[in-house]
Amino acid sequence: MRSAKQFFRQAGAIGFWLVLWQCAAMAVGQEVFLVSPLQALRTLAGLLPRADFWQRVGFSSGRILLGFGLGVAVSVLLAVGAQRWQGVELLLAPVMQLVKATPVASFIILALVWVRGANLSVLISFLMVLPVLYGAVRTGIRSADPKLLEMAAVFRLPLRRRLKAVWLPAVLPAFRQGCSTALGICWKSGVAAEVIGLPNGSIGDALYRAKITLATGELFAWTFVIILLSAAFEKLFLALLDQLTGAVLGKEEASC
Amino acid sequence: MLKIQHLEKRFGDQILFRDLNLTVDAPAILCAPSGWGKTTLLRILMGLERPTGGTVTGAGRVCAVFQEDRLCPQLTAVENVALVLPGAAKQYQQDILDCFQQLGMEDEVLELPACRLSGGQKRRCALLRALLAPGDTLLLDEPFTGMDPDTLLRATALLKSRCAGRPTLLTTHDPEAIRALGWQVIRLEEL
Repeated sequence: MRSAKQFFRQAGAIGFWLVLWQCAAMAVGQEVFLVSPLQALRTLAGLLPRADFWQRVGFSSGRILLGFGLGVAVSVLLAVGAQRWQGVELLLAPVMQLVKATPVASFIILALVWVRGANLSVLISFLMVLPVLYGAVRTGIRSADPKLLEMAAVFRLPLRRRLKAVWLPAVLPAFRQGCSTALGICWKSGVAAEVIGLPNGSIGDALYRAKITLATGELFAWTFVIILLSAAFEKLFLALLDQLTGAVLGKEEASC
Repeated sequence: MLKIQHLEKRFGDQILFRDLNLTVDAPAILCAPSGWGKTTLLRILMGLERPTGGTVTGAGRVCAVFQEDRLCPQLTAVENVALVLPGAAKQYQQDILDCFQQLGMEDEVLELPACRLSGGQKRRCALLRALLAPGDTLLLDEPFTGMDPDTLLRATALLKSRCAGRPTLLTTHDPEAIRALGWQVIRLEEL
């Protein structure tokens, strides 16, 4: 009952802003400057049946998610390494700080010198995701209960059992939170890389073309697609992660 | 046989033990007033604390009840016990259930994650984990905390039947437990 009420409240809030947007578009009266939500939806509906639309979605999703996947793998390895060896932690600290502080545009322009435009979004989304997930996994590792670790040492628990009983319950909540943030970041930075790198057949390329041809409707439609894709992949990934957490740790984890 | 020779432990300038010698070849109760270093001594024997001097030999593989319960909160009582046993958990299931029954733990409680158990239930779980785990030496730091008199008697009976003559050091202030166990009492302040 409460969730239905909450749903209607949220839908009401979205409806309010859509009406306001529609009114603003009608007041401006020129679609080049501000397209109405109805027109943006019409443009999107026109894009949906086209094969090149789905090719672009596949092209960009594949590369951006590859960058995310690499970010997950490398950040977990580096975080474990940093926990194990202080030298690794010391060496990585300035690198992670640098990646976090550097504007994404600087990375994109620099990376264009090293990699082809088609692979740029892989590298950029990887780089943007890396410090977020590295930090999340480090936080999770640090939150592991030292008393349980002592217990595991005294009873000489094998690594697999230590992982399942002590490390994963500590790391997974922080990792989940990090993934939620990182998935949004990798879509934003990946598409930004495509807009600058202009690989043929990408969403970023479509956005750029919409901009130079003043096709504001398409610009809004593609932006809407990016938001939807980002939200859908986040929901899907987190649902899979929750399933995995339930399978590994048991369903009771949530109640503790 | 657990042998402690010329053990010394300092924390900065403070000396906790100096030239402590003790041999344990059977179950024994370690008594001392609070602050005399019972827990520190057990932690040294567990290998969690380094002595400043002296040697400990013969501890082998240690099974312990810690000062705190140290149960994995997301696991059930049975899973917490099975965690420290080698091989598949299923083969021990019945033995664990029987022991919990002896300790007065009802079946429905055993389905709950450890984070939802009461203090006394957690303590029984920690005690059973130490008793069933494969090991050469048993080190039990106040294992009866939070148990009512009936549970205490059940726990001492199980402990006596399960420690199987292994070198065992148990710390407690509880005269009822000392009486029920009937083991040799070692007074730390007299060593």
